[in-house]
Amino acid sequence: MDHAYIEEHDVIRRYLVDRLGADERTRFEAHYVDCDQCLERLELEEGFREGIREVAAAGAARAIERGLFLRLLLSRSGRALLAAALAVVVALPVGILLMRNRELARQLAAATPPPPLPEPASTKEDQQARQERDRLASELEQERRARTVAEERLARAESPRVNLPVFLLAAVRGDDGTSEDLNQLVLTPGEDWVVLAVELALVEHASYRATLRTAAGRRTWSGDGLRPDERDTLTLALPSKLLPSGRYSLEVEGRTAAGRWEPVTTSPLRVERRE
Amino acid sequence: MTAPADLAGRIRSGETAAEDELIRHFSRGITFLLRRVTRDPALAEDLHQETFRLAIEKIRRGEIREPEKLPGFLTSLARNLATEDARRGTRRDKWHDRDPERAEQAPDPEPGQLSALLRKERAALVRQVIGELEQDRDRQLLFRYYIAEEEKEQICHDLALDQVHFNRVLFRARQRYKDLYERRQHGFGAGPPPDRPRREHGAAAE
Repeated sequence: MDHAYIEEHDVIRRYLVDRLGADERTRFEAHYVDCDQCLERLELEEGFREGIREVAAAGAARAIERGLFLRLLLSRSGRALLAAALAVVVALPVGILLMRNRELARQLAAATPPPPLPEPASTKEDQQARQERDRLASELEQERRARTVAEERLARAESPRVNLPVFLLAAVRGDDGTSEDLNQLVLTPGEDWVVLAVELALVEHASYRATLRTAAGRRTWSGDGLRPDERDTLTLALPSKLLPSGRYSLEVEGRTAAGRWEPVTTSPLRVERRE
Repeated sequence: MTAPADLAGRIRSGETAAEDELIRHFSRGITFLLRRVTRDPALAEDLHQETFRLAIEKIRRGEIREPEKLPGFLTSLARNLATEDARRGTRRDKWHDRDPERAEQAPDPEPGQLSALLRKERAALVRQVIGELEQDRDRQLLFRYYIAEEEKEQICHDLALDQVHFNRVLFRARQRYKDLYERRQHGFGAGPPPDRPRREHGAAAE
């Protein structure tokens, strides 16, 4: 294996997310163990990736402390992954907006002229100051509106949820294309989260991966490092916007001791959104 | 470094310096591999020692059939040891089975204080990189790529990005992280990176 091949086939990233075949992985390991350049890139890439996960996990932990909903549903590390990303994606812009808002407020205060002197005619400097003040006031107003929207989104994300749609999915082996009728999910407006539960017949793997695909095979969501609960059930809380009307399949795979993923169960499902 | 086949030949002829060279040259890569496979730094450290001990024994006895493929031989050996260890159960379990009273002395699978500190520092660097991004879209790109592990094409489609922009954001973020990381390394002095295990070169060759 050479560097041209590694670049062309995105080998470093695929290795780090366990998406190389056994043969390609073996060849890459034999290469990088003897290649400082690839090792450095691997270490850097993995450090960066894990750093992002740390940041996301920290955001998720804060959200879990505050939200009853998250506490109830995201207690497993695997399930927390998606929520971690969402929490950070929501929390970061809000924080940045608040900081920018404060900065603009300071600028506005600095630009506000002292009480006007009783001069009948305004000078050129006064006019410029007024224009600057108006411009800053306009920007501040825009920021306030954006902040309000972001705060509403954050409040929605953190508020407790009741009557969440929870679906226990039946699994099939050898899908004949019609069995998604077994699992029909009807979603109504306002249901922005949906809980999918898959009962495993046997728990014989240390770790599991779940992948939600559309009927066309496009991956909508995937999470690994999952572990079933004491009732051998994997429970996933997903934002319902991931599920427009249509047919899907939720595939669960188990990680073998050799590090390979092997299929465990597949649950076809049909989502129907009602207005 | 000496070519792999020559290095194997020197070890076979009893040259101790060649054994040291083998460990020095391949240690970092084998450590990386074992940490990935085991997800347990303490276990990876144990298996690292075992890998080099067995490798040197086999090379001394001439049991390596294709000496020019020495790197592949080492990685396969390391992986096999890790797989075998996983098949037998965790080291903690083994210790407990052997002598329950000594179970407390088994390697702790939880990361130590140094690892926790390094994780914190790494997160701080990443937080700084993310904070320096100007667009929320670029932050979303990183989270979706690294956390949700979505494919590049899908992210570009959803965020209405072209792949050039995507690659640029990734490249700059990684480059910035690298700069910050290296600056931090300089802060630690000229010694080896703190998260790299210290190793007695002679120990594996016993």
